[in-house]
Formats: sequence, structure tokens, C-alpha cells
Amino acid sequence: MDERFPLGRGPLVMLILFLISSFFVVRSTVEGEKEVLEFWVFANTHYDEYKAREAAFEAAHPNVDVRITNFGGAMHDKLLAALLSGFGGPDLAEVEITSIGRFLKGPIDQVGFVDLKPRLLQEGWWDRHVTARFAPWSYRGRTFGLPHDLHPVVLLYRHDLFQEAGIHMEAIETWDQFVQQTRPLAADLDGDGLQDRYPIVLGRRSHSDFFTLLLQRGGGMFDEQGEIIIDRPLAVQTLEWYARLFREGVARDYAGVGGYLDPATFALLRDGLACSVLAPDWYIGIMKKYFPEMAGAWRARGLPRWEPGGRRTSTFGGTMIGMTVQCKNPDLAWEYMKFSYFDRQALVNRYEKTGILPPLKEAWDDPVFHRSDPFFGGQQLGTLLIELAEEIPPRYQNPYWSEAADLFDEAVLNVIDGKIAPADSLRRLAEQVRRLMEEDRLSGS
Amino acid sequence: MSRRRLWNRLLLVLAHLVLIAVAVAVLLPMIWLVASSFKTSGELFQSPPTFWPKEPTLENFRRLFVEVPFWRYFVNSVFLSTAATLASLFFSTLGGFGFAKYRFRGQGVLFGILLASMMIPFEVLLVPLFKLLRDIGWLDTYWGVVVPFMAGGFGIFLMRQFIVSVPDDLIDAARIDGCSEFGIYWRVVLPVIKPAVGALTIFIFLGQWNSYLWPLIVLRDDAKYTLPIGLANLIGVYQQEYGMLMAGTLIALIPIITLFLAMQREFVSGITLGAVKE
Amino acid sequence: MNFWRQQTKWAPYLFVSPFFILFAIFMVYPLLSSIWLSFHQSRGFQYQVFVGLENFARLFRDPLFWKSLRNTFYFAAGTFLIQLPLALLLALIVNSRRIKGRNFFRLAFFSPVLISGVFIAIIFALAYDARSGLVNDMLSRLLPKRVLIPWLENERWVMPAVILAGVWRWTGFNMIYFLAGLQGIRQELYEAAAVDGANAWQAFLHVTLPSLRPVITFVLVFSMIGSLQLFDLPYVLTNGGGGPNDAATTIVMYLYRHGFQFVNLGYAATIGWVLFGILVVVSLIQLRVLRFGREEEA
Repeated sequence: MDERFPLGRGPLVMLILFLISSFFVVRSTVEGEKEVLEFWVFANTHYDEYKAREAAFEAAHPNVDVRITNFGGAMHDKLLAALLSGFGGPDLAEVEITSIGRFLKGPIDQVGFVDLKPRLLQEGWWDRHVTARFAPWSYRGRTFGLPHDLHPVVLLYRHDLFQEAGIHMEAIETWDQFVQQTRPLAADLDGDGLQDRYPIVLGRRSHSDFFTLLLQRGGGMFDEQGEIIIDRPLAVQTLEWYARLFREGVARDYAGVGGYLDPATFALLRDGLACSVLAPDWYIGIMKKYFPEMAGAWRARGLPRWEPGGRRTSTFGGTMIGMTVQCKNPDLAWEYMKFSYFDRQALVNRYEKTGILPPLKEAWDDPVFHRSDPFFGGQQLGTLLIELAEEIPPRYQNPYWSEAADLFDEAVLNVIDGKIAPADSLRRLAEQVRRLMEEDRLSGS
Repeated sequence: MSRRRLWNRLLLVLAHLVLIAVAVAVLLPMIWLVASSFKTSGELFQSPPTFWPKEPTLENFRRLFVEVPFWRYFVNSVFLSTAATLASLFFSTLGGFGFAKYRFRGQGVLFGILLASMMIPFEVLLVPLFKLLRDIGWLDTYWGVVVPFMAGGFGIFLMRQFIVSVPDDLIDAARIDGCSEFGIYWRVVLPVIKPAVGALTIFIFLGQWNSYLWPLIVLRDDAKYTLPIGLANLIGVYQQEYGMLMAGTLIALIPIITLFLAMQREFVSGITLGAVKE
Repeated sequence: MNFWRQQTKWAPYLFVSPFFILFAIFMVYPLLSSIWLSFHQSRGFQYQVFVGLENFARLFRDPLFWKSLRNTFYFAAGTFLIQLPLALLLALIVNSRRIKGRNFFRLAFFSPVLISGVFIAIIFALAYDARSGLVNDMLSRLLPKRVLIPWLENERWVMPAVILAGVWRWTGFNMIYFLAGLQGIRQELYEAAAVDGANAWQAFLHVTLPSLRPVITFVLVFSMIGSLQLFDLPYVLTNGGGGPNDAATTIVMYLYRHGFQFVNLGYAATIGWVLFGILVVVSLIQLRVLRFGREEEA
């Protein structure tokens, strides 16, 4: 056999493998007869959540096959390409808050998502939400998605280490007090002359924590009208303060390429080398999942204020569910959206699995949100989140967010590294984003 | 004279030391990969790190098969890589034969175009090729992954280099016996260049098995994903499953290593030919 | 019948046609369309506005483009100064008959090529971790002090990290090319040199290097093309973001970002053509310097 096949042994093996594998491939591509509802997600925690309730929806709609796919970080690129090419997109998709901007570019009528505002108003869902949370998913009066979350930010800290250092968290009201009073935590533990332990871990290579703090203070990148406000004095002052934390050994950068989500960062927190961290609700869920051994040592509190009477929280991250213009059966898709985003049981499950507080206010009285949490030494974490929820600042959306975010990272990093003054860096950033907007000949009008 | 011998001996020892040092540097990450695939995620990020797992666990492998459609990726990879390899082998040898053993009008120009095509960076084509696939409805299909690169210039060039040295007498004799031109290719030329074909086989297979960017762009349905794109997803924004990834990499390596060990001689002789004969 | 008898006339066209058919569809057409795109601003596939040379003008004053260009050449320099000399050295050693275990070393050096670039990048991302990664761990064992280099977190270290991973991956592959070249050198040349009283070093300079010229040319040109098209290693190693301050963003990563993240296809096509221009110029310079094609036919 070997001798008779003129291409030789290797290709013969290839041919056999090809035939075997094509048998499997062909067999498994046989299509079912049910109506398919395709749903793309990018976060595996969300994926697990929807997967768990898939059967329940299919039981209520026997002719429907819900297909949920998790594409990870590459989902947004794929989704955008699909929507722009008018082919191959899903019926429903979740989109992350820093990515939604690029879906909004171009003429507003050509956005790949359906405006959900009419349905929301008509069925009375709008006012039952924390309405500030529609802002990130709205543009030019249309609302392209339902908010999955609020993502209030709290300060997580190592209770054991704070106690050991004799620092009373209750006495810390403002950020300035935090910086002053946590200094004893900055320490060289192994005596090699280099500082190993830091009071807090914050992003140096990414803009996200700086942006979280700026939002808490009432600033932002764009305002409601789409004006760039990142070069205003408030932002400059905040960045100056932020950079100083790194210079003075109060803050250290996240570890690894994955930033705040890198296991190496969780290892820093676990090993007590960073004593506190800014954490939105979703972050806590991930922390618990990957590093359960950290339980007990942690406590949560509202963020220190910028000035007396100021906000005690901010918001970081976020997800929406949108119905694409390629959706084949909008009414069915809408049913599924409500089933996943408005159903009390769904929201309770979500909180239990991921720790994410829902934006639908009427769900908050469920006992699940008021349980004591052993990870936080018995603290009622949900109650704290609900207390802070109404204080979260709005975060306005803009089609240029993705490009701006890219430049924003660099602008923050260069200031922290002392290469440029905060005012100059933010002015340059604002100029770059303005130029992007001017050079865009397609979105105008 | 004896000083010279001493010097030579010293040089030989030094040479061995260099080789051993480089071999350690090359193999260490691989051994570490194997060792780490048996670690828990907590141990992976321990500081100071461990090299060998303290409490070896098969958890990563178990989860790989339970939480990820690993077999599906594996079968897809085998399917796409073998399909691409077979098609590419056929067209490369056939084209190589055409250029090596015939004189025809426009040959020089055509061969020039072929050589020039090897110079065009794939990235220039990336965007328009994506657009083209969309227009012909090949996005998210196996066709879209395989067909555009089925007859690469490099393969034809390489095969031509081999076929040139097939004696013309052999071909003429077959022709006189009434063999068709395709028959000559199939029954005379191919058997003679078997080793070269073996080399090309591994070369193309390796490229296909490991390719990342193109399938990432073309494929959407995760039931069609190949191993590199399916497994690379384990490290994303919201999950960092390094343990599972290492376990998956290990398994993905098995077919490649088997193929390579079985055919290493052909492979090495094959990839070098293009370089030696300009 | 006549047609069949004349098959030597048309058969070669048939045999080479698959390549040219695919070439016309999947290369010529995209190439033309890419040229067209580079003169347009585009939003996906439906909307295009003709902007003339504006994309090119914008590219030349785009600081990130220049930075990605610089980064790419930085990597290429690393390839030329570390990887290729090392590959040649290893080939020279492994080629010697007096070396024990030559086959083992050859296989070992070559083995990284078998692993997909994405996996290599992810594994290295883990290995470069400052506190628990393999790289710092090994350095700490060799040096008196614990090494905690933040490879991927620091602007200065991230490109060296990429280069190092590249060296690990490609050195053995290039070694094989050199090895083949060395094996092709006729023994009589060395014997003649010995008769002339040349020592080992002189023999290397006057016999080995000149004989290797075709191989060196080939390896240099192809590694340069490969280096300038670098994508998967830094892309995965930096989680797609290009590293701190875009210190590891290469041209192709930048192209990908505009083409597939911002879906600015016109701008992406422009980057592609400028890259092509650079590739052609650099390759021509290399061939000129190495006087390719002037040597006698081997």
C-alpha cells in the first residue's frame, strides 16, 4: 500500500487522517430543525450563568435552540466585523463598556444594534432601573443595550495587615487621609533594600484605575454632549495626585500582562504585598473563584471620598446585551433578554455566581443580597453595594472611546514615569482625540 | 605540535559546553511546560516559584476535556491541516513538474510572477482578502481557511528545485511508451521525488497545524475552531487558565512530534534545499 | 486525437494553472482592492469616502506608526545580532564530526519550531512573570541575588523579552539552513587551504564564509522579511495591547488594530502598502550588499 501511493508515506498518513476527521466533521455539522437563537458572550463568568439557565428557557420555548458561545476577548472584533459586513452575526450579543464605542461610529442609522428604548418605555422597564446606567449604552437618544450591571466600586483591604499595622480604617474618610495613614504598610519585608509591600495596588500601564477615581470625583473623558473634558483642571489635579502615589511608594502596579486580572496580581494580594485594591463587584467574584484561599482576610468599604460629602463609589467596567440588526426573530430575542436580565431568579443566580449587583432596583430586597459573606469575615457585602449603588456616577459613551482608551493608557503611564507633566500629557491626549474626530469623514453630521 | 593538540582538545570541550548550555536553555522551558501542566493555579503563581509540582494534579487535563470542546478543536485541526496539506502537495508537485520539465511560452514571466508572489506580505492582503471571502460567502467556512493558500509559490518553487534533477531520459522513455503527461507525473516523477515530498508534507502540515491569524479571522463558529485559536481563548480578559492551556499545548504537540520523529530526515533535507540551490 | 497527441504543448499550462488561478483570485484581486482602499476612508464595507492621499499623509505624522516601525526594527536588529550569529555558531559546532550526540543537539535545537507561536507566546508570558516566572527563577539561581525583572510590565524590558522569545523559537530553525550550507562545501577546498598553510580561522574566513554566501543571503533576506512581519509573538505576549506605552507594538499589530479593531480598512491597507514598500527596499539593499546573483552557478 505504502509503495503504491506515489506521494509516499507521509502524505498517505495525511490522507487517512483526513478521511477519518472528515467523517467526524461532516457528521457533527448536521443542522437541527429548531429555531436557533444565537447569543455571543465574551466573559466566561457570564457564559456559565446563561448556560445554567439555558434549559429553562428552552423548556418554556420548546421549538427554540439557544446557542451561547463564549469567544473571549476576540468576541468584539468578530462581532464588529460581522455587523459591518452584514453577515454572520448572532441574534444577541453582549458588549463590554470600552468596546461599545466602536460599534457606534458612522451614521447613526447604520449602528448594528436595534434601539431598545421604545420597548423599554412601552413595557415600563425604564424607570425600574438605575437610569444612570443606560448612559453607557446610549448615543444620540437611542439605547442600544440593556445594562447587565452597575459595577459600584469598593475598596477591598487586608483586614489582618491593617490591624497589624494599627491602622483604623473607620477613621479614614478621604483619599488624603488614606495616603497619610497607610504609610506604615509600605515596607521592605526581606531586607534587600527594595520595597516589597505597598498600601494599594493601582494601574500604572492602563488608565482604568485613574479613570475610576476621576469618575468618582465627577470628571470623565467625554461629557454628555460628547465634548472632551479630559484636559480640564480636575483631571490634571487628579492625575498629579495619582502619579505621586507611585513615586512615594504608596501604590504599586499590577503584575503580569493581564493587569488587574492577571493571576500574578491575585498572587500579590494573596501574599500580602499589596494591602488594598479598588474593586467593582465583578472583580470580587473573580477573586473568589480563582483564589478561594484568600477568604477571611479581606474586608470591603466604600471608597474614601475626595472631599467631605463627596461620592463614596465610582463605577468600573460594564456589559450590555444588545439585539443585532441581523436578529431573525426580535420578539423571541426580546423574550430571552427579559428572561436573562429582568427575571428575579436570573438576577439572584447571577449575584450568587458572580457577585454582580443588578441594575433592576426591585430585585434588591431579595435576601440573597443581604447575606453575610465569609470571604469578608461575615460582612454583608451586598448591603454595602446597594447602599453605594445610587451614588454611582454616569459614564457617558462616545464612538471614539476605543481609540481614546488606547491613547489614554500612554498618557497616564508617561506621567507616572515622570516623562511629562500631567497638564501637558492630558492636553496632548485631548488634542489627539479631537484630531481623530476631525479626521473622521464618515461619522460627521 | 602538542600545544596545538591541547588547544584542539580545549576547543572541543568548549564546543560541547556551548552545546550543552544552549540545549539546557532550549529544553528547560519545555520541561517546565510539562511540569507546570500538573500544577494547581495557586502553585503556578507561587513566589518563589517551584519547578516540579509539589502536589501533582490531573485537574488541568480533566477540565480541558470537560469545560472546553477540546476534541472538537482537535478534530478540526486535523481535518483542516490534512486537507490543506494534501491539496498543497498535489498542486505544488504538479506545478513544480510543469516548471521543471517543460519549455513553454511565457515560462520565464510566469516563474517570475511566482517568485514575486513570495515577496508579498500576507498582511497587505489580510483586509481585502477578508472582504473577498465575505463577498463569496466563504467567511466562517472551512473553504475560506484552506483554499486561498492551497497552491503556495514556495511549495512549487521547492518542488521545481527537486524535479529539475530527475533525469530527462526517464521521462522521455515513459513518453515513448505512450504514457500521458499526467501519467508521467504520477508514475515517473512522483516516485522519484518521494523524499522531497515527505519534507514538504511536514513543512506544510506544521504551518497549518500552528497557524493562528488567518483561521482567527475567517472562523466564527467555535465548533469550527482549531486548537491554536480555541486554546488561546483560555487566556483572555476575564479568564487566565494557564494550567489548562499548558495541558492543551502538551496534547497538541503529540501529533507534530510523532510526525516529525518519523520523518525528520526528509524534513531537514527538504527545508534546506531552497536555501542551498538559489 | 490531435489534441491528445499535442499534450506536451498544453500540459504544462494545465499543470501550473492551479497556482495562477488561485493567485489571480486570492492575490491579484485583493491587491488591487487594497490599493483602492488605501485612497479611501472606510467604515466596514458599506461606506467609503475618497480621501486621496490623506491616509498616507496621516500615516506619516502618526507617532504610533513611527513607534511601531521603530519597535519592528528593534526586533529585526535583535534577530541579526543575536539569533543569526548564534545559529551560525551552533551550526559550525554541530557540523563537526568530533562532537558527540550531534543528532540529539540538532533535534533539541530545532524542537521549538514545532510549537505554535501562540502557545510559545502564552507560555513565555507566564515564564516572564516577575515573581513566579521561570526566567527570573533561573537567573536568580545563577546570580547571587534574587532577580525580579518586570519583563512584560516595563517599557524597557518588553522588547528584549520578545527578542529573547524569538531567539528561543527561531535559532534552531536557522541553524538547520546553515548546517545544510556547511554540508554542501566540498572537502577539497579545505584541503587546498591547508596546503596553502591556512589555520582554522583563515580557513573559516576564506573557505567557509564565501561558500556559505548563498545560504547566508537566503537566511538574512528571509529572516528580515519574517522580522518585519512579526505579529503573533508580541501580540499574544502583550495580551493584544502592545505592551506598556506600546513598546512592543509592531507594524503588523498596528495594522491589525486599525483593520480589525477600529475597522478602518483604508488606513489598514495604507499601513500594509507602506510595509510592503519597506520590505522591498530593505530586501533590495540586502541583496545588493551581499551581491546576490553575481556568484557562479552552484
